[in-house]
Amino acid sequence: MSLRKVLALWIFIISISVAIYGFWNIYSISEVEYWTMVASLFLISSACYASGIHHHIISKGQKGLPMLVYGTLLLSVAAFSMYLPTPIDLRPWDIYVRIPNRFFFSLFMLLSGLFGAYLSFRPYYDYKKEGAQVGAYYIFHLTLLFTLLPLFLVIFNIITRGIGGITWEFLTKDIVRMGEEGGVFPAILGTLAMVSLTAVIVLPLGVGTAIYLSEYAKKGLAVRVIRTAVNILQGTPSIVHGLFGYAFFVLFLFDGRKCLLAGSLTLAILTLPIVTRSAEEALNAVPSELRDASLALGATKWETIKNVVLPPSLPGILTGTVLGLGRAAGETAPIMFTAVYFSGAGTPSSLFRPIQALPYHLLSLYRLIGYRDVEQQAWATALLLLLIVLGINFTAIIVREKYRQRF
Amino acid sequence: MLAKIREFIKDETKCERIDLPENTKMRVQDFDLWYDDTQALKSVDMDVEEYKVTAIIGPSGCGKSTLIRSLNRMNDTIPSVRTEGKVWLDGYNVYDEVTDCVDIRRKVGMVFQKPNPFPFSIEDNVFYGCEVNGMDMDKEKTVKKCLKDAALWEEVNDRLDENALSLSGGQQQRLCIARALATEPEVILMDEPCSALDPIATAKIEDLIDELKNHYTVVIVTHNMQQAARVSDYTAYMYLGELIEFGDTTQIFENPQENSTEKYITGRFG
Repeated sequence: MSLRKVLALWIFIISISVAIYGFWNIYSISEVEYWTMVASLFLISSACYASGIHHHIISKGQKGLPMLVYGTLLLSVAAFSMYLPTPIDLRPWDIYVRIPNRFFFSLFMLLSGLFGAYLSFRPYYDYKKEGAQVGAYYIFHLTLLFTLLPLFLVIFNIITRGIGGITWEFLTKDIVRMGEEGGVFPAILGTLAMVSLTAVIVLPLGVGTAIYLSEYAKKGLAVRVIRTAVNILQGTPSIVHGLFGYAFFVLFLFDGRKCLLAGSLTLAILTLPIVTRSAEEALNAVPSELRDASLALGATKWETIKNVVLPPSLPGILTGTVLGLGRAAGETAPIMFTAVYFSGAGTPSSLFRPIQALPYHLLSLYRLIGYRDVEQQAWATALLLLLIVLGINFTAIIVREKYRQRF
Repeated sequence: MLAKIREFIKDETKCERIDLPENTKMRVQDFDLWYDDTQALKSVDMDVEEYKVTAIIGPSGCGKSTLIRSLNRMNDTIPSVRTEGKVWLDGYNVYDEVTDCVDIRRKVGMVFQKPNPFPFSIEDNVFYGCEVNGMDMDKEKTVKKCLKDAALWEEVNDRLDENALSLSGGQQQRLCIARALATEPEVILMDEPCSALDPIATAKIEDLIDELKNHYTVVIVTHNMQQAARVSDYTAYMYLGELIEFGDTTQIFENPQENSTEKYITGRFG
């Protein structure tokens, strides 16, 4: 292996290490020392210098210039970063934010590491075009990895901390002594009951709206208004849905009593835009040639929709619905004013009785931490909730794969 | 013929009627069509002979597909379309207020440019039209007869329950023809039925059209002039929404009266 390749590998290894270290620091609580960043940048820049100068001496070429420029850039950043005020205080500009320096240090280490790794492919491929190409290829894969990593960290964290609290008693008993003992059985049943009821409410409404928008409505002002309304509904914060549910369903319809039905209705409003939009997309994906074929055979419009348009779009509709329900299962804000008690509601017995639900149970336990010994139970509840939501999403994937249609 | 009560007329007493000459199945009379403000058909007049093949040719965008889709009111599905004029079928106006356009489409079947079988089994595809129209027919017999008429029976008789999408493009198009035959139409409209097919599949469809004209009246749109010359008895030449010339296929191809027709047929534009 030539010295050129060794230097390239050296840049790559250092850069990647710095990137990972910076990435880790964004997520960790520990303080990043100023000197670690300066040292990291200095390491990368020295490697870049070595490679660039090596190239200039060997082949008297100009293509090593980016390495020298990048190295100089990193050195100057390292030099000037000591003048960065710490922490960065935006209060003089009426923004009440103080950003700790470690955030910038970590971010900068991540970015400079990634870019250094990208550059290192050039000397490795002898400054041919292939180097930039391969570098881009791997760097985009790396960014994907950095995107997925937080997801796995969250799941891993919750599983390792929560698994210890999952016992038979936890799964099958009602809560005792504010969650310190007993389990979450009514909350599991409550969540499942509420989500199923939501599905029953939202499916006909959402699919009906989608059929109207996609098949019947003439393109015009009315459709644009409806579509914008659906989008606004989707962008509405869930706490607003919760307050609306409290004001309209609980106070107005159910005489001030929280109940299962009120919660499901609120969640149905929350998931309606998701179901409508996915159903509309699924319906639009059915080629118009099939509609023409059916109409040309003497079928009416409704027969055409029922026989030709709906069956192939059903997997798409179901996938969208199930994803929406997955969101509904994890929401706390829409149900906390409309349907749930922390304890004492028992297993769901009537549409007009309050229930217990996992997300609200988790919130209540979190509030109790410090006063009571419920941390283990809180993690276990989080794990259960995560499993239910992941399970629902996984069902969506299976449904989609199994009934996927081609045209 | 006129005494026969037509299913597609909802109210026999209210509709307008004319006597078409013997052997004339359809007549397009002073027919205009607009897409919003763009006029796509300009006072078209044309007769369609019974048990004959009528071809419509012309350069792209001349309105030939629009015209053929007007014959069974398929243009009704496009919201921006507005029509004026009359299309007569056996002396009844297709565009009459009392005409049920759903029933019209059963009597005037259509085959499209791109093979568009439903994602069902082969037999369900063929029987679909009978089912939605509530026609009381034996499924097995109907499927067999239609597939035989469409020259597809030999190739698919052992796999009628397979998905129609597993067929090749040419087979799919013949399946679409079989599907159109199942509702017992009297006229079959074909909108460039071979433009998505290879030469062998095209030859099969052309043979089939030759067979079909013994029992059905066929109207075919094509941008392939050789095809029009091969399969049709009458040819209509359209240009910019107007019907420039209409006549015997041999006359149109060998002795065109209009300058524009001659230019198009000899390949000087189009």
